[in-house]
Amino acid sequence: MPQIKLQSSDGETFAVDVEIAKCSVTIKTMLEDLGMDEEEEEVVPLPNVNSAILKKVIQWATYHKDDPPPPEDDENKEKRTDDISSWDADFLKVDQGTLFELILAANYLDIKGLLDVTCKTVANMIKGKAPEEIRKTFNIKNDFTASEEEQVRKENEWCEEK
Amino acid sequence: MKLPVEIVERILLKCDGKTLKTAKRVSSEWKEIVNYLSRKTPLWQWCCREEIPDKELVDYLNKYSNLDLEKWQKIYDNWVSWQNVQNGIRYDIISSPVEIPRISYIAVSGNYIAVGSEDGRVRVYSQNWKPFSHSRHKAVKVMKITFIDNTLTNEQCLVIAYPRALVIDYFQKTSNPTILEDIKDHSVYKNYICYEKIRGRISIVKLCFGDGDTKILMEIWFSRIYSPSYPTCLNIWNGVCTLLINNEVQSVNYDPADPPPMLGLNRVAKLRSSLNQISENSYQILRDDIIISLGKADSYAKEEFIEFFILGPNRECSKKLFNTWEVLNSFITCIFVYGNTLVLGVDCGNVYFYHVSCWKYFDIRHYQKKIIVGQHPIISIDVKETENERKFYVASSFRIHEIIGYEVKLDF
Repeated sequence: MPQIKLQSSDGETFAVDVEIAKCSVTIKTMLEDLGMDEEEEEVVPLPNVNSAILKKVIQWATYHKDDPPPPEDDENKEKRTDDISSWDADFLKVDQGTLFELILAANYLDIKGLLDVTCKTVANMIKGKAPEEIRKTFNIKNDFTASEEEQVRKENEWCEEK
Repeated sequence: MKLPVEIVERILLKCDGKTLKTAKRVSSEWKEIVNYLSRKTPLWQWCCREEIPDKELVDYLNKYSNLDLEKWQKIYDNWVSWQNVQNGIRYDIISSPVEIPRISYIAVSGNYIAVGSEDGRVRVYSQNWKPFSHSRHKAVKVMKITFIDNTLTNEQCLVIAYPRALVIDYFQKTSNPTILEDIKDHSVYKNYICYEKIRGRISIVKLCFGDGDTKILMEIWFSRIYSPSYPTCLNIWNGVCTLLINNEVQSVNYDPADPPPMLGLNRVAKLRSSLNQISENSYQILRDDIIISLGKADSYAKEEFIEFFILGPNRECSKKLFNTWEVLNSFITCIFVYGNTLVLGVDCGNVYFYHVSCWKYFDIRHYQKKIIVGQHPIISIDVKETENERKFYVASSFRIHEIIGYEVKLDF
């Protein structure tokens, strides 16, 4: 099987089957646009992904290489978050920083399946959390003034129940 | 690490409604994102469809006539706040300004309120109790009133039940009413009416609004129940007609799109009632899966039982029995269910609110809210759901009260 080499931001290269690498739409277009010759073992630089994350992404793509192509986005899509396969769930048992980097890598490489499952994982993570916990998770500053916050809190009063 | 907006959007699109409500309180940017997604995607529609039980959602959608994106969010909000009947809702009780003698039934639709009387009069009011129309087709008690909406033309009519007749009253127009005689029992869902004639013939008819003022009643199904079988009660709801025939639940599916052939009835379940020995026993079917039986030993004894039969998808049937006198110290005179809220009206003028998330766990002792409406028996209840409130119209023989329940918003 023809292979290509992917180079991470910190210079490490990974040899990957072309078919597996092509699950990333970014790499696929790059190969098509540049007409890269598969014989030549060209190196594709990926300046936005470090080696640890790239390794994870390749691991994910290798496992999912025979998956049917993901369905197009449409109006009636479901947003269920309870259908994460057990392999994916295990695969995503990583610290939060890694998870976020995986999301960014999936977004940059345009791997819909991986982006979907990582976003679902984060959605499950913040389910039922208080605003302060969510802020901490996402490293967001609370920019509401006291009166604004009161206003927002009133609008969502019932959230305090539970 | 800070995630870019498009990623946050993707994550939020995967969140459930409650998390989305919390997300609005995270920061002004997040609030903007949620508001943007609410406007640009059917986000709340997804939340409603995935989180609200299907059978409840049918009620909510029927009460809301047109559905823009905003409405889904409102439906979701109301659904969530009414899960906490006790602390999440504030109640205002208003006594209606109209004085109507001997009320026997009340029905509410988007724009109208119809009140039936013991003497056969039906008065229709528009917003703010402004008299709209008035009719008296028979000089006997109005047993029941149901609105039928024609969503295409925004035209409405009333199905008025008298002890032995049904009258379809096109109260907005001058057209003659349609009168069906010898009707023992009936049930209305949207523009479908199921009725039982006195000698055991049961029909499902569809009210078709033709051009101009022509209305046609088209029979789409019928069956005959021969003695010694007799139908105890029937209910038509969301494509299913459920009948109780000699303690056996039977049902038929009618397909709104194309009239079914003469389907036989499906046997759903046998009810083994604990109240068989009791003389006065009345049944009521809710939706297509709940049957409520109310029984009194005799009208003098201070004893009354309520039994719930919950039908499962595979013909299973579980039941619960409660002694209502022990719990409520009064007789139940009116049972009303809307989505996740059950309201019981009793003969001393109280109403009890229950949040029902699962009928199997329902317990009559655990009412979340008791409201003293008056001193007279509650005879009829209906509901209207608007932007951020549910308004229950509660009628006794002499007075109508509006119980307006809305989300608690604390003032600081």
